[in-house]
Amino acid sequence: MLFNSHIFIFVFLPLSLAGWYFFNRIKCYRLAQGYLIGMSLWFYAYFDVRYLISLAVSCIGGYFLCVLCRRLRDKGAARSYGKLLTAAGCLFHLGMLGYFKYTGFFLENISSLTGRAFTPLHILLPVGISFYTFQQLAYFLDCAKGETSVCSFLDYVSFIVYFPQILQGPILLHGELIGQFHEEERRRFDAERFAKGMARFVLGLSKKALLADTLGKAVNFGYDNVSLLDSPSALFLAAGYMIELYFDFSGYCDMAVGLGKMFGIEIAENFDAPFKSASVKEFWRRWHITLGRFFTRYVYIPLGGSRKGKLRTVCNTMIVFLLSGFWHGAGWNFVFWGFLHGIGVAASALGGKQIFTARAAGSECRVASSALGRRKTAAGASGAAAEGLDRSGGLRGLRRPLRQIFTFAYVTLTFVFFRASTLAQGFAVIGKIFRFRWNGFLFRMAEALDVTELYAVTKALDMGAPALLPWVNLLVFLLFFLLCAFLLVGKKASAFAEEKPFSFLRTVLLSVLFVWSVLSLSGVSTFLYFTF
Amino acid sequence: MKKISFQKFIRYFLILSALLLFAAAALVAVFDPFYHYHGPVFGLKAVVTKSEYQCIGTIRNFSYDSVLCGSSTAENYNNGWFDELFGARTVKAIKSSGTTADLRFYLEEAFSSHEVKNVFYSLDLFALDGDPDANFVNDSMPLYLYDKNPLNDVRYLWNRDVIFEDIPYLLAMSLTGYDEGSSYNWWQYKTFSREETLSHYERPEEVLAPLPEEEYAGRVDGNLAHLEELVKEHPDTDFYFFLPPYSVLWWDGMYRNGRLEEYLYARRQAAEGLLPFENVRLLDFQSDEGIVLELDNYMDPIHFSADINHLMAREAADPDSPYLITQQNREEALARMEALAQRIAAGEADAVPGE
Repeated sequence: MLFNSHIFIFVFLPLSLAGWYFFNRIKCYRLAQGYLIGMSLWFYAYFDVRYLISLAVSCIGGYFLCVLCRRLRDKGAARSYGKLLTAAGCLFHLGMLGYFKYTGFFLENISSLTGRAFTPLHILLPVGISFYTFQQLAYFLDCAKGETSVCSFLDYVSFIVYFPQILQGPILLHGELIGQFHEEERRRFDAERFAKGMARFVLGLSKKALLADTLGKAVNFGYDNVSLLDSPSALFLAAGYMIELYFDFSGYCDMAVGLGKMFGIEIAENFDAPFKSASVKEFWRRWHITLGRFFTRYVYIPLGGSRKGKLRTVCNTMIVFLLSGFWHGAGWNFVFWGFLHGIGVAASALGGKQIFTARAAGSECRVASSALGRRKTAAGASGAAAEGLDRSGGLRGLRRPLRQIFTFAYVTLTFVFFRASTLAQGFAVIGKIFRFRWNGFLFRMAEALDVTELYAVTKALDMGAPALLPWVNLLVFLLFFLLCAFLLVGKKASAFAEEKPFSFLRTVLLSVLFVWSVLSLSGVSTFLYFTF
Repeated sequence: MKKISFQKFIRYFLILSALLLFAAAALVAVFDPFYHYHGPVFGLKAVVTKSEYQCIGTIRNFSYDSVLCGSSTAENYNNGWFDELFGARTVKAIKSSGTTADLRFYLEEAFSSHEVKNVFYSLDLFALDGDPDANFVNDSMPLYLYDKNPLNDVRYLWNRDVIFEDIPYLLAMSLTGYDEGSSYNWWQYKTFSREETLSHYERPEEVLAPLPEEEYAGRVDGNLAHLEELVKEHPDTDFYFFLPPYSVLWWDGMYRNGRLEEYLYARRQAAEGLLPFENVRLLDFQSDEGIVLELDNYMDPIHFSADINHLMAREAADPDSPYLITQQNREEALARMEALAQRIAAGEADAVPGE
């Protein structure tokens, strides 16, 4: 089920909220938690009931491994068998992910190397598998290291399947979520928290339905016609996709955080105004924060982080970003995208003494959860970086706005490979940008934006002054970009939703945005991060 | 700025949103541009331009006694021609690239709610080649308008495109003298010429071997069975089947793709299967060389101008039409087309490019 669907908003959500608060009100807490699990499974199985099989295998297997860790520790055998079990656990989780997501990719590449014919396999890829696998892997590794005790199976399943985060994250740590299920205060309806959750959900829905999906029409048109692009249209295509992806994914995360608040079980923030970043390193501290935190804690630091010299730090960074690219998709374009971001972050090493700060938990992942009574911090290897470029990078001498523009440009160009269907298509788009040619294709991209609300105007122009229509379309296209730019650098959705007190005007604004978004759902679209 | 408590925010937000959603749904339900609930209101015209969205509504909720059914080759008919020639009130049931099962679904909807005197059916040969059991397989079809489930009507009632595009379009067209008979017409936006037609034809380099009969006979017979059942179930309805005139280029392409035998088989089976019914009239325009060899009649290898549609409508009303196939002249008519097809295959027809 998608957040941006009628069934979710008008059936699933009211039923879930009603059941959750009803069972909690009569103090049947375990029943309430079971109800939430049941609803979450419905939410997940709505796409395809077969997905439940892989989810069940993953959850049961994952929990069994955690229990095994504890048993070994209790018996004092952790030292002897700990590493073996850790390897087995990693193999289990990554094996599940690998089978479903990467089998086809590996077979295709092997066949192209050996020259043997390849018959594509039709393996059903369960949605959200990359996210819930990493979440379980993190928990398992913490258990294996003895950093956490094993929770009950009910808590474990709640942690994995809690519906606001199962599809596209954020990738949560056990400490951020499980503890909240035990706080009685969170089981009571809190009007302030609920109201803020509603506001946040509406803002996320609007980002997705009104901005990302509209921009997506022009972007898809551009990527369907790469051979026709000229320099300005290729440039707008690259920037358009970057902005679309941001509104799409951050819109989803806003909805997830908002839903969390409505249920009283809060979820970590995943974005922090990434386009205000003044370096690629800072970008990764602000973009998909929980993924960066995962890679830092469970890959970058175990590899030695920045403690083993400059060269090793660069290598570790590159490993993290190549893995991150591969995690995003089974394709060489994703790997190359990761490589470019690794280069971007590691570039700071070339200009200064210190590549990464050793603060493994340096980049803040502000967790809305006050369950633990403090702000959580988390690492950032992919987020590993602000200080690198900021203090010692080659861009040090530039003013911050210039560095921000440079960073946006670099990131935007790299994300061309993220969107492209192949590496070759990515290079084709980049090539078009730097060929400095004009053929008027921008007018066609502008027309493809096709803002429904302006239909009457464009139709009237088409009949009355058809020569003006392309220019009006272009104007609308540019104004739409301007609006997006304004929203990117303006107040964050989280700040808007948290700002107190609420006014009547804000209520009207949010209602209009909500209804406008609902009216835009009929051509229901999926989220871009959906299959990662 | 008036400050409000969080409780009030929640209450006001829900009330205001409910009111706005109700207003949006009411607007759509009243104007109903897809005619899902009722026919035109407030003296507005029946503006019918989106077959996938409007066809089913017009079939269910319009007042008519005749149905004009087919794919894109039937879109350029004017309903008014049939109204005038047959003293009828006609509605179109169109599905572009539709299968026979799609069209049967439309006709059964019409029969279930109306007394249907005439069915004018464009018998496209390529539709006889489709899966006889598949209907509305395209994901983009708005099936929420087709089922009888009121719950999924929200996709129509709360629809930004309907509010900002279709309702304004309905109002604008009603005010600017829209011709209600021209439903789904598109000929006015196209160029019909030899150059245009040739520009849409890529002649296959190779001539493939003909498909064996067992490859297609089941599909063709299955599709024709749909039509024969319909005819049999409605003996009081007159069925007019048109074999539309595809250009010589289309036949050339079919020959080179190894499909010529299949379509000749489909024609023969259609004639043999349908003609025994007394309420069937079969009109064959495919072997009229004056039409099919003259590429100025076309915009691409398949689609002909509205003038040809008009001719077909007039001929259907003529009981002595030379295009009529009867039990008596059936073999002669089929042989005429087969001979033309052989000439095209042999490159003897003048209009075939490269010959």
